[in-house]
Amino acid sequence: MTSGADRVSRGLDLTPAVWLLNAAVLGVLVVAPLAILVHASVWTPEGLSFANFFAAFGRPLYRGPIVNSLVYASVVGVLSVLIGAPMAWLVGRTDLPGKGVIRTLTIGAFVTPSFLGATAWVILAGPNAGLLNAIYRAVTGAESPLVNIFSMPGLIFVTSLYTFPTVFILTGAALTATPPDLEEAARIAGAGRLAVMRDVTLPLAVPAIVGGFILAFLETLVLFGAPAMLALPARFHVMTTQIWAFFHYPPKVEVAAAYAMPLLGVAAGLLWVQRRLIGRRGFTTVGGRGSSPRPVPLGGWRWAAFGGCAVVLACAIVLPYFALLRAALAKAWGLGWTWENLTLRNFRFVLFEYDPTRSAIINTLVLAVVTATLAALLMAGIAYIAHRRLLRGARLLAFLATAPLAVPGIVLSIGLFRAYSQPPLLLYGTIWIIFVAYLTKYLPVAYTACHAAMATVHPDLEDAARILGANRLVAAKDVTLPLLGVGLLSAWLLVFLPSLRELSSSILLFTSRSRVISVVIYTLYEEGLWEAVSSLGILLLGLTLVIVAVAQRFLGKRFLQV
Amino acid sequence: MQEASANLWIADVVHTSDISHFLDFKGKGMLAKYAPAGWERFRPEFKDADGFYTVLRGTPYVIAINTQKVAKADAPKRWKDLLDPKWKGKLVHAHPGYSGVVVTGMTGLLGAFGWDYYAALAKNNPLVVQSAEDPPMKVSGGEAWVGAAGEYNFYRAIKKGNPMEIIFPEEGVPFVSSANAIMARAPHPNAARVFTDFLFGKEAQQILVDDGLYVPNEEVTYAKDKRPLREIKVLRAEPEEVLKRNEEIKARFRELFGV
Repeated sequence: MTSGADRVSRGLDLTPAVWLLNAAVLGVLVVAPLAILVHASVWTPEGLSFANFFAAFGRPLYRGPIVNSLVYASVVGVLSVLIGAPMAWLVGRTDLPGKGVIRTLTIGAFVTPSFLGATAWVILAGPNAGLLNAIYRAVTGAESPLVNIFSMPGLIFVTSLYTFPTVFILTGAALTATPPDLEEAARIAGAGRLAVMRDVTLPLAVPAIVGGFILAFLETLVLFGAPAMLALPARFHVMTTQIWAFFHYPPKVEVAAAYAMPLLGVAAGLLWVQRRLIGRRGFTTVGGRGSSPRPVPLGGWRWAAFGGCAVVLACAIVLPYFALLRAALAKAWGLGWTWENLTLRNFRFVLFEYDPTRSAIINTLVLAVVTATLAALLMAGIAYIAHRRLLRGARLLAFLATAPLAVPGIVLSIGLFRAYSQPPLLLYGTIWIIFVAYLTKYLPVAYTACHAAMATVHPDLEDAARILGANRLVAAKDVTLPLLGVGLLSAWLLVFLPSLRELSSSILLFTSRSRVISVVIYTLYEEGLWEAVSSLGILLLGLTLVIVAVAQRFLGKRFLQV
Repeated sequence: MQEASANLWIADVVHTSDISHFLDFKGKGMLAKYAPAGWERFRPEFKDADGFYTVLRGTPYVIAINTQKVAKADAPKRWKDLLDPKWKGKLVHAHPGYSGVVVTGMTGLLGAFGWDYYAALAKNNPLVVQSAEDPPMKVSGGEAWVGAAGEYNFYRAIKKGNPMEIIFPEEGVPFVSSANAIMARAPHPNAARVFTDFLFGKEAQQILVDDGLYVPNEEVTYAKDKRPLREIKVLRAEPEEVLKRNEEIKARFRELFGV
């Protein structure tokens, strides 16, 4: 810390400039497309009016999906927390067996595109030919199926499987950043395992859990893939499929924009709720990382807990990817696994014969890495500004940072398209417009993670550095940033991993030169090449696991200690 | 359309599965007049009289059954057979909102049977899917036992070995034409013309034919198991009709099927 004091008297204090620049970048990234969207929602050929809103909300037919979406998102949010938070605690704080496998498979769930998971679950649980239903019928001799995935519960179930990892990662990061001293103290004082968890660990993890719920809620609200697969056959719409309906040829873009406006309202509402819940309560723990926590012994519950996690991951990964594998290795997927039907041809086709694949893989990786890095750094700055209230209107910044999450990918992309398809900012047709789309879309995720991480670093440490003479920028860089370590890493992960599977923006903005893996998967699906779709889906999972393994080797255990 | 409204002229050549789009484009002056080499010898139903676009590929809209679930004797022979209650819960139907193929197919059937047909079909509770490519997938896997789609989608899946069989209903079938055109303000007009000639030349057309499609160029050789074009009874769905009925079809589908 003395080195900071030495540097202080030289040169300008760049602090305000850095914060302003940070805020400005955020402003441009978010405000530009949103402003265009708002403008589109009130634009008609005759002039500005609310006609689009009447068109969008006038008919009960269009209001139904709003209710459906709210119910859908709320239940998925709750389920994601109920699954993700306990799993994070089990993996991070107890002596659960098989932690490595559980962590890895959870990450696998995180990178699975929701429509792929949904399609695999149709193969597993479709009422007529679902594999699970077939087994059930064979065993019990029943006529009707055990489960019908084409239903709201089915949709909620499948979506939760691919949304809980967000809560898992956020909660895990919070737990890792919290030193175990308080829990140890409680145990020494005689509290049982459950009491410690309930009265000490849980309250400390609340910011992360609330943040996780909000992210899961908003992510579900704007999800398109799974509802398209499951809600439509179940004969109901959610807001995103309804918006997609507005894009049916001829597209009614302005009505779609108007229809998407309430979603922004929802985001604002949730942010307000988050602030009320967490607000001024003290979650900070002085000192950052202390000793490694002693694992809580689960005793007789060890294997039951493992069983619970195993069931979750079986549903998220094992069963669906088995269904995919069945098709990936088949000449004709409708025939299942018979000796004559096995082949490696699909993998060969996808990797070597199908042109777009290779450039798509490179594009996806580059985009994911660059977006994650920039998002994490940018949002660390914004979260810092908001926490320390460095600028007036810090709360507005916080809202802006979270707003894009409430806008469905397809609608956001319209705004982005219009914003960046004219000179001097002609980005359309290049990979850069997709980069901007990802960055804008994932800012909220990075912000929420950084915000939750900030909550655990007490300002006293920074203030101590400043008393010793460091200016705010230096103090932030040398003191707060390292303490945020794990939090930043989780923010990075929370952007990197979903970027690998992002579809709703990419599908609108891509051109032949700027494809990503999920777009290739989706277009193969639209061409009816299900065997190729499965192979590429499995390759995506494999690629991710390889990346995670390599990162773990280089960054050590810290990488996945979330 | 999005690119055009932004005054972005990136594409040289345009091709979609829905021919009514091209009427729209032509009306808005977005297309360049061009007749690919050999145009005079093409089948007449594949040509636009004004010469702004040419149908690149076509496919009849047909029925297919899953042969593992449906015995030959029970298979439907006519579109009207699909209304039989024995198919309740076993049908699949793609949503017209997402695919021009389905809109064209429905236009053809509406011309022959009217909306009463679809009102009755709705009672059989078909599985409504988003993509026009989905029915073949659902029928392959047995989640649906019967479905309708563009013939070449079924054909491709059957060639791989999937347990399906195509049925040409006795009343006739709509024919889905997918057109190709050069943009009026193409950045590379010469390359566009050369490419278009290639697309309609024997080599490229044969590739399409091997995939199960029907093409305008008569120099190609069709597989033995493909029904020749002249033997197909067509339920006409003119592009103007498809364009005109577009909104009506989507709206009434929503009323009948709920989505």
